[in-house]
Amino acid sequence: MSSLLEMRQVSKVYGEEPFEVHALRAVDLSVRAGELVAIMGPSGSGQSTLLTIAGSLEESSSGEVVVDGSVFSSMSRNDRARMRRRTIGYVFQDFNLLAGLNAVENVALPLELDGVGIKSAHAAGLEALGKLDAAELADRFPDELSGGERQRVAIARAIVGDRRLLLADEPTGALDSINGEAVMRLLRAACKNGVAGVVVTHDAQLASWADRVVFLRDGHVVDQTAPPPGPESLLEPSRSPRP
Amino acid sequence: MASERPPGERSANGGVPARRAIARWAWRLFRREWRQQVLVLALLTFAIAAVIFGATAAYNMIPSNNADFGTADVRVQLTVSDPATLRHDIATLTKMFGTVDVIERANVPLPGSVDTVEVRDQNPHGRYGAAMVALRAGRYPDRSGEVAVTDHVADLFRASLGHAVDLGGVRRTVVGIVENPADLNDEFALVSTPPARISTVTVLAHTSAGTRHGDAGRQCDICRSVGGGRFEYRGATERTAGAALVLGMSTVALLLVGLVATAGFVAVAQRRTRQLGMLAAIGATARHLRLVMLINGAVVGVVSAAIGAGVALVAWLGSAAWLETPAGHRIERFDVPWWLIAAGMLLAVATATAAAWWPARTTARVPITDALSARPPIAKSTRRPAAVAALFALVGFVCLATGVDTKQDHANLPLLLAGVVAIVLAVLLIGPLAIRTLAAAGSRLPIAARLALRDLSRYRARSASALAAIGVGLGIAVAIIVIATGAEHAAAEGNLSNRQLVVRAGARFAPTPPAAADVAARRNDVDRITRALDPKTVLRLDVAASSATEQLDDGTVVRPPAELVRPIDAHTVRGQGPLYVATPELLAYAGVKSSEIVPNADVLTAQRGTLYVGAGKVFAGTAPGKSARPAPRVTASIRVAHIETSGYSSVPRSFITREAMRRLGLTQVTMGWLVETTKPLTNAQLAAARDVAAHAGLTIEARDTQRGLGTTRTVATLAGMLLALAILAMTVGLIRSESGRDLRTLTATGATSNTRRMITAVTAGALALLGVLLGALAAYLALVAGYLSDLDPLKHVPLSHLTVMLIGLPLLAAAAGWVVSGREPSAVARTALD
Repeated sequence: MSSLLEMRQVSKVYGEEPFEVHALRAVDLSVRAGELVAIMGPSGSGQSTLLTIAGSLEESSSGEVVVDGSVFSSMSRNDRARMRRRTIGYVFQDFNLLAGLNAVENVALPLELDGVGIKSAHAAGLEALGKLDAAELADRFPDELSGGERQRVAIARAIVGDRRLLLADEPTGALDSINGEAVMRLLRAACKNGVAGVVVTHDAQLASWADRVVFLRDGHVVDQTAPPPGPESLLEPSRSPRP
Repeated sequence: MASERPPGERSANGGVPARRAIARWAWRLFRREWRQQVLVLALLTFAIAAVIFGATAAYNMIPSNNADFGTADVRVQLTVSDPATLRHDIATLTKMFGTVDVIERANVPLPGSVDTVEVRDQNPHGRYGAAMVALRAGRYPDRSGEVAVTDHVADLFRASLGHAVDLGGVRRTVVGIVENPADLNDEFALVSTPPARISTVTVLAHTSAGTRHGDAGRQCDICRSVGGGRFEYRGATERTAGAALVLGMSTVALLLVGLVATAGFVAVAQRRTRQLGMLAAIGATARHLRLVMLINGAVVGVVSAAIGAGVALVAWLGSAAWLETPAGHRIERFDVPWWLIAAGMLLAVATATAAAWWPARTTARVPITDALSARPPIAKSTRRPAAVAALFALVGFVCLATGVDTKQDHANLPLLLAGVVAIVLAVLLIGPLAIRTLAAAGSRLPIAARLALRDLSRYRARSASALAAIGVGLGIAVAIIVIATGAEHAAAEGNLSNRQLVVRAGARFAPTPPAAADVAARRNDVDRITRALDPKTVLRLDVAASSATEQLDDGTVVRPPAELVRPIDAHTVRGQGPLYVATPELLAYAGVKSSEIVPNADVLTAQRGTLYVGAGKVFAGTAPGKSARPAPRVTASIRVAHIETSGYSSVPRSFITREAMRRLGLTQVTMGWLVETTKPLTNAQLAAARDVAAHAGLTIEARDTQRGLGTTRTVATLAGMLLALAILAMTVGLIRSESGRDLRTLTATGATSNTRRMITAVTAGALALLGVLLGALAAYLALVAGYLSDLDPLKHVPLSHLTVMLIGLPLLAAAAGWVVSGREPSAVARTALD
């Protein structure tokens, strides 16, 4: 199966000499469709930077990022924005829902920004919410939702439409363990449908939902578990029994 | 996934659906956060109300042609040669136009005054002239012994309904109070029979009414052939042009408002940075992000325009009646220029949208990850804007220098506006450097002051636009103050003070030489005049006059008065006022010290430069100070001593010694008496004095109506300071509200209310100080450019008013900031929930 996300020798340097900080150093990462990869490491290791670069929220200092066959460095800002609307879904730790829009409008927003009519976009939004058993939240505004509900809406926004790559930056960081498990289950389910997923987490228990775990330290990939032989995570059946 | 168009065919920016989604979100945000924008809303609303009210007032206050034409479109002024010719001319015009209105006028002297009253014979119900007369009380005159007068004429005669007045030797009973509704300053006495000595005749007609000739142009040619007639067409009204001019000037004022609004929108944009980052993270383009702020600006503009227009209309309907006196004509309050109101409202929306553009552009450029962390944009270098500011200042200077000629009293409007806008932009662009410089200068101040200055410097985007608004507001005030100061000195503060009057023995500028016995008799008359005035000083005014007499056109014999004249060029001279005989009493009254009197001096005067004494030609009835005439032949030299004297033009300011008079062959003539009272003279006292003077054959000169230029300066100072304080209140409120997190941190680290007070006080004081300095600099730059052809009016620096602004405003702003701040943040550890 071909890689949906391909990061080759990606480095990121913040600031200028002598105060420069190397957030990533020649990182290689490849994620296939249907695969869920967890990124772990101590704080400041560069996990979030890796995710923001993979999601085209910022540019790498060197190296190459390819998503679904498109090379970021050769794309304009507008093209990258379109990529975020159509291909990449991003889930944040603190949800990042827009306060003025209700749940279904938040979910449908990437589609509307992409030119989809309001009715079609809302129908797709409701469908995405329905997949996450959150259709009843459709008319509620973010400040009327609990943390777990907000994150479900955020995930629905990340998978709405024909998204191929799902990036989640500590999606369970602001949630309790039960909600955290539920979120990981949703991400896992999304990947089962052919989406490539990358999750940054500090929680080994949650990382065990992934097909593969990549360890970062000081911007380097220092270790990673072997790629799974099949579509199921090697951790899934033996180490993490689920209800 | 359902969608109308496949992804490949959709617009890169999402087209209409994307814009609609952005607009919906922006509107929802405005509804949620409108309270945080209430300052900007209030400011824009006030500005729009002022613009619409001002434009409506200007439209209605500009006089129409009705004052002179009534409803006619043709006016013919006939020269009165002899009655037969006049009758013939009127008959010709009647034949030419059909119905005509004939107005006959005569000027008769007001008893005891140099002023005259116009007696007007006009049909108040005439077809065209009816719009020029309106009855306010009583009735119109309908027989020869009756008259209706305007209120001012009634005051002059101290007459009311039923009283008799003497008009050119004819006694008439006042039966009505009338006015020209199109010109309330048109003072006349309306009679129903032709006055005795008609001076002019006006014929009003209409080209389309009963015309016997094809077109107006031909009528015009024919009309010129009417004996001595001056044919005038009714011109296009200037009301629309005047209102459009006000709208144009308002655009400049709205530029100022736009600067404050920009500061407000910068704060709004920074508050929304994180949400805009979220939007970008899910695929919004830079255009989408800009659209959010632009729509917010437009919504603020629409709301402000709607409320402002409503407020302006209510204010106009309520105040229209009060504006009739300053306008000088009656105002129809429902005659509102709707197109101007629509233009003003559009201007409001455009201003607000334009004000949101810069913050929108800046915010859209923030990297997504920075935006998601709510990190504000990094402040840019101040050097480049400062260089551009210098360029704008130069452009503004050149535009004003070439577009305005104060000497010729001429201004090129496009260049004037371009110059003003360029200087405003220069003030805007120099702001960041000024703030940064002040912050650097305050690096050794206590922590609270240092923090306040550093915050101003860190958030230059909003503090610079606030500073520009304060600077421009104060710059306008400074310009008014300086112009008023220059005008006050140029006008020499009028002819007399309000406690002085001059009783003249003869006509104003052609003293009849009274016999010595007459002088004593007239002194008795002067005593009768001053009896009711509580005089402090009564001085005889003796002037130097030619020894030879001359005869005026009306047969009067006068001695031409000697006057000080200044050469204008090789062929003309300009009079500088009469030469008074240097008696000890007059010199003492004029405040001339004996030490100032140079021995052997011929003339003592405050005038400088080349001067002559002339006394050879009479210009009866013409103010000598305003006439230029052929240069005289110089026959002798004079020695001039410079003295300091009063600025009043009719008080003796130039003196000639008796020795010089003897040498130049001049003689002494008593031209009148100067009376100074202990208290300002009332209108009743002046009227009584005129009555006595009229009976004695004397005339009285009192203070001309003067505009209170001193009052203008003080009002401009106060208005400028109030405007600056209002802008400061808004901008400091905005800046400090955005620093709430810092305040919470400070409080958590043990800062007392004094620290918080100091931060706000220094923020307000620093902005005020920089605003005054920039405003004064910008004002002087513009004024120097405008007055480049004659810098004299700028030599008088209004130090007291500028000092009040320079020191008073920063202190006042700091004090206000200190008083209103200091409240502990309600939740020290809590941050706003997104």
